[in-house]
Amino acid sequence: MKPNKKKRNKKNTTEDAASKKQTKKLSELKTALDYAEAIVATVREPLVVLYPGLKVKTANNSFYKTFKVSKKETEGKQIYDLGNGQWNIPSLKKLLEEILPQKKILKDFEVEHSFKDIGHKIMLLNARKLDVRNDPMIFLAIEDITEKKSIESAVEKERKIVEFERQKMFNLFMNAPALICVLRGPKHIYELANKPYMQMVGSKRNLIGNPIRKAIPELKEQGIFEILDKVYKTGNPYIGKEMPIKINITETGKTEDTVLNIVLQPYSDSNGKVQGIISYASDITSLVNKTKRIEELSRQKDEFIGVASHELKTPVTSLKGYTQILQMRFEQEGNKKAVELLSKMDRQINKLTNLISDLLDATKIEGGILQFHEVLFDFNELVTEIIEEMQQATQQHTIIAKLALSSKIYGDRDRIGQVITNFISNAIKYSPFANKIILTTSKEGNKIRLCVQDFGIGIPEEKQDKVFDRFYRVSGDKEDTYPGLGLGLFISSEFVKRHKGTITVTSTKGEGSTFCFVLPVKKHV
Amino acid sequence: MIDDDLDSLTVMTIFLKNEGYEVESTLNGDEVLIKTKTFKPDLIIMDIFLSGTNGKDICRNLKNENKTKSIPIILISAHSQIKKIVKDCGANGFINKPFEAEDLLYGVSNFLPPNN
Repeated sequence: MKPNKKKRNKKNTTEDAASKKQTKKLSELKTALDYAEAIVATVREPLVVLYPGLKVKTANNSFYKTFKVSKKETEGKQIYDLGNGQWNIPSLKKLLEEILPQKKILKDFEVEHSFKDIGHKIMLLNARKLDVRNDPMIFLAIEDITEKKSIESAVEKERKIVEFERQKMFNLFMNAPALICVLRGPKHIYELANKPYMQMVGSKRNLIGNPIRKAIPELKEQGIFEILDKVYKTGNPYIGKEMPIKINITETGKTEDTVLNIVLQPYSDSNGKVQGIISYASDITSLVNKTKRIEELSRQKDEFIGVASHELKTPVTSLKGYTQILQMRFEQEGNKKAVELLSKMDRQINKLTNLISDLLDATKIEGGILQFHEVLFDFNELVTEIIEEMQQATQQHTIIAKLALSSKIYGDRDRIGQVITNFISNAIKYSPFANKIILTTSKEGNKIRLCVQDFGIGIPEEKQDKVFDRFYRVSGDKEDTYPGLGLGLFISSEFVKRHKGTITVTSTKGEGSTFCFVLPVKKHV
Repeated sequence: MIDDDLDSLTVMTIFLKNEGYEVESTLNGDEVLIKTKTFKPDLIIMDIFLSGTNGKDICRNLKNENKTKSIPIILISAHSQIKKIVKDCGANGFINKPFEAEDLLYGVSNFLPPNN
């Protein structure tokens, strides 16, 4: 029975084997399907599987979630009908119906579309056509790249702005009217140099990529390299004013003297380590030359005025002497008329003498060579002396003195006397229709104040702060009739300032002016 | 009296002679050093700005010379630093330009009383 059994068994075994094989295959297929579905389900990006007629066989959760549709309203439906026909996109249609049948695989196909439910989106489609036993299927992966795209576009926009700014800075740098260069590393290698910089050092020079010691060797012995080394080493900027520099002009072979105002600013990496130096300089050669020329002219002018004034004094002295001699002779002869005329002449000579002295004083003030001979003296005594002298010069005005108790003061008696004389003579000069001038002195702690008040033409308010300026003269229709060099008050104010005092004016146009000075009584240091 | 300006010299001479002084004058600064070898004045009046030799140097030379150092010297100048110059060269006084007859006579009388 064994063999029968064996035979039967064999047949059974064959049938079983086929059935088993079938079952196994089915099981494998199911596993594969499960496997595939599991993949579809797990993929984070929306994924949809289509079968002929572009109907949805299945879709993953991500798809439902992203496009706000349910499984029920999706499976078995044609893709274009999904979600109120929102997938009815011409470009998608072209992709699925024309391109894919031929190519089978489509990568990164971008679709931009306004979906009814989810708004405007940019989708990246990847599709693959699979022919499973004449049963073609399409796998369609949909990636929503809207956000990514918007970030990308923002980044791009930002990059363009940065690039624009960089270009702007670069243009500014290249076209700036200053000499700019960037030196990199401890050897100060030229990284950039703008047009004016190139012009200064000579356009034929090979700067970029070369260290400064090689590019401009003549700077050796001029201290520049040492300064650059120090800036690089310490990280401290260097500011150089009016630095003289000698540059050999390559085109002409001549050495040019240049004067620069220069700033050497180190720049660092994100860790604060110095990477190089930005050199920013302005060429002030012509300015310095002009200033020198002006200073020289000014010195020459002062010297000239000084010599001229001195030379003028000698003939004036003789003139004065002859006048006096003539006066004496006519006096002896009893010719009163001639004596009177000669005394008028003498007054004019005195005026001339004063003008020359003013010119000389102003020149000394400007030249900074004004000297003082300071002594301790009685202030009231000086004031009284001057009033007596000035009273003789005017018959029209009475000089009324209101003097404080006498005080000793330390200073240059002649110079201070000159200021008082100037105040009184101005008061006389500018009050042709008044008959009095009031002079007051008062003690204010360790200071003495002297004021001279007149009742004359006055000074308009806007001109009051100018009266102490050099060469300033009261001007205007009426005032033109008052002669003078415009030096008296300038000299007075300088004398007072040099005595550490103050000088002031208060005035009302048409009513008169009061000029005052305040001087310390003690020796000033 | 030494001054390279003839008019100054003339005026000063007249002033002084009027007061009875005897005046010997020269326009040449260098001449004074030669003249003083044979002639000893009671007072020397000189301008410090002379053409040729500097008045300051003449003043210094006179004050360094044994024979002349006792002669008083009055300097005449419009120079702003006349006081310093007086001190530097050892002069005995100064008169500022421009001056009047009284200034000159007063200055001179300090060293030489007028001759009656």
